[in-house]
Amino acid sequence: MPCFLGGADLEKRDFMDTAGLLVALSECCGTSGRENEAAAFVERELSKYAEVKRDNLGNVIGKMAGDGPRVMLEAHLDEIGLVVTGIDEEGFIKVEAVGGVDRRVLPGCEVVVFGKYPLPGVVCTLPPHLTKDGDRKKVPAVSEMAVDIGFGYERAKELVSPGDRAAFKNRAARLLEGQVCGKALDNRAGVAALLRCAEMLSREKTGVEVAFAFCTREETGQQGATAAAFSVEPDIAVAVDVSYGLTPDSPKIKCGRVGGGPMIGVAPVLSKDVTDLLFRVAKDKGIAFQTEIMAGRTGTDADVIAASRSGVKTGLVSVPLKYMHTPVEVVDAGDVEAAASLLCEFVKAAKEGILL
Amino acid sequence: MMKILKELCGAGGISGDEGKVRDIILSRIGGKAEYRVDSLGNVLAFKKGAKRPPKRVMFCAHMDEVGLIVTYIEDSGVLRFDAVGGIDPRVLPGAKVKVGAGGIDGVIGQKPVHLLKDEEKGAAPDIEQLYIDIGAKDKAGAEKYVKPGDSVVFEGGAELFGDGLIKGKALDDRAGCALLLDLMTADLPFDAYFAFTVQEEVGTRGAKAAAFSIEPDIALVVEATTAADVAGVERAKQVCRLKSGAVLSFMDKGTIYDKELYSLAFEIAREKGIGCQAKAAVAGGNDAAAIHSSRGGVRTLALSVPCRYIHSPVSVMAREDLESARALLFELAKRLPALK
Repeated sequence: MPCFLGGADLEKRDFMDTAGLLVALSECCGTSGRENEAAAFVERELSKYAEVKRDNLGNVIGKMAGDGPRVMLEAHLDEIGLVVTGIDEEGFIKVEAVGGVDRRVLPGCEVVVFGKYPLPGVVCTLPPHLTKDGDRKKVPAVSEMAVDIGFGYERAKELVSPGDRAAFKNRAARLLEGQVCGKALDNRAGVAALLRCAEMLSREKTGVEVAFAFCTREETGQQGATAAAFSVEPDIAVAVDVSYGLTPDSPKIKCGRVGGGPMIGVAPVLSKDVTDLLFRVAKDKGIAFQTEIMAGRTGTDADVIAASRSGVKTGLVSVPLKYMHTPVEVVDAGDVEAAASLLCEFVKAAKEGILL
Repeated sequence: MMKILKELCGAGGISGDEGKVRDIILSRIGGKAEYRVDSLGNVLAFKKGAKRPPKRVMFCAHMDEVGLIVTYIEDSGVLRFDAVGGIDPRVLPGAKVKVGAGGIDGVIGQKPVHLLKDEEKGAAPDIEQLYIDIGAKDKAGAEKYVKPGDSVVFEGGAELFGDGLIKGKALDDRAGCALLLDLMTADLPFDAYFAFTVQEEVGTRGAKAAAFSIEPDIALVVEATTAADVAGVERAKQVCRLKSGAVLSFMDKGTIYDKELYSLAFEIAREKGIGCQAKAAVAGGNDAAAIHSSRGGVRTLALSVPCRYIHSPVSVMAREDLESARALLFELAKRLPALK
């Protein structure tokens, strides 16, 4: 399956550089429930380091044999997007949100509709003179929006069916100072950190049994991770996701600084042992980190993994990300690299058995 | 036509900073017409035709596009901006942009949806709330690449789309520029004057100077105009529709068009079997506003290509409408100069 946005040159790209890996991953499409392009990319990269299989929900799971506690490192593969609900009589495609799309970005936004083949589209906007004064300050509900794919009703009906997914169409790019922007860095940033970590662990031959789980459907309720945690049956797990990066208009208290290192999560639902070990390893190894406090659940796959079977000691590492759930999410490649190092050092420390 | 349109749409040229578009136009008209660039940056050109006509006709299209301008660099390194031309702020969040002469990549960000109160989630932003993030970590980092006053354009070019459509940035009014360039490369029956104007989007300022200099008897403004034939808009309010031909205006917010020219253009279209529709709303405005009231008055007509999502990062028009506009433009170039 070719990656539509990455184009034919994807194979040739240089993934040695983490920013390059982030660009390539972000351009793979993987709206929840249709993660195939992102999954194919991860499967190819991960099989360089681990025994890889796909399960019934599309999760990509790679295993590195070893002994000691079984550690699962997890990142979700899917991204938010749209799902087709119908076609109007003029051929415009009616849609609904998949995951928590920020609908403020949709008017005038370019998307790809995955019909019979990938179809570029534009989310309709009304010209200002047709917008009632009272509505100028309002963004309509997603169900009231439509996507223009440039075809009339008959042709549109042949090409697109209800249930087809759509994703943001936006080329990822390198910004200044090591930052990268892209449409799906939530959570391809976590995916990149895990792939980098797998590479490091395979080089170091740590001998710890590690499962890498790249899970589907996080944005729609963490169903992928629920199944993956059940099958992998880990003793210890760390989920890697993204969290709020500080911007001038965001509350400081809820945000990490982009470029300030990965955020180690502290929350009632997370294992204190795992969290403490993450902090200790970061300090011992001089890896930059920040702390993220959550008062209950974390809103990530960590929540379901921790409650899997008879319970899994679970921690959370997050890459700070700006403009979450928009086509222009931004992360710092350095934070992704630091997260990978943190995970790698964590796995090595976990081998010592102190957690069990 | 597609080739030149792609090149023109790919160039960034907000009002007051049309240099890149002008360079493309000059490279195309060199050797084909006499031209000069005036004090405001308009390209004024004269092409000799087979005959000297009784009426001097000016064909006009504007080079500039809507965009943004950097107004301030925050300590945090993000850029504050204002809109250049009429932009609905609702199309800005999540847009990818190119900043300054160097074309630095930037994104238009805002507070994440997860951190908003419920009532804020459906609220369109004010332009003052938005900012551009270029990845700089502080003011000094940003100042290496950007300064207040720098132009910001949406990212994009033009490409074929759907069933015979074109999707692109700044089709308003690079489509008009492409049509005029096409006309200029043909053998013309009469002498013709051309104005590729600046600053249309900030109040038709270039056209005012161009009309003064050229002193035409008749002007034809070639434009892109709002097509509202999109989901959820009833037929009566659609202004004009894609695939329904070139658009002729009888009146908009800036101009009451010359009635005879308007009727003549429809007549010619009917005679030649060229798709043509009336702009069914008194909305918007264009260079005609400045031209028709220039000096002692100029008989003025606007010929437009219908265009969806105008003034947003990506707009859509139909190739067949562009062809209709081209055909009608060529016919008008034969008929207008010969008018008594």
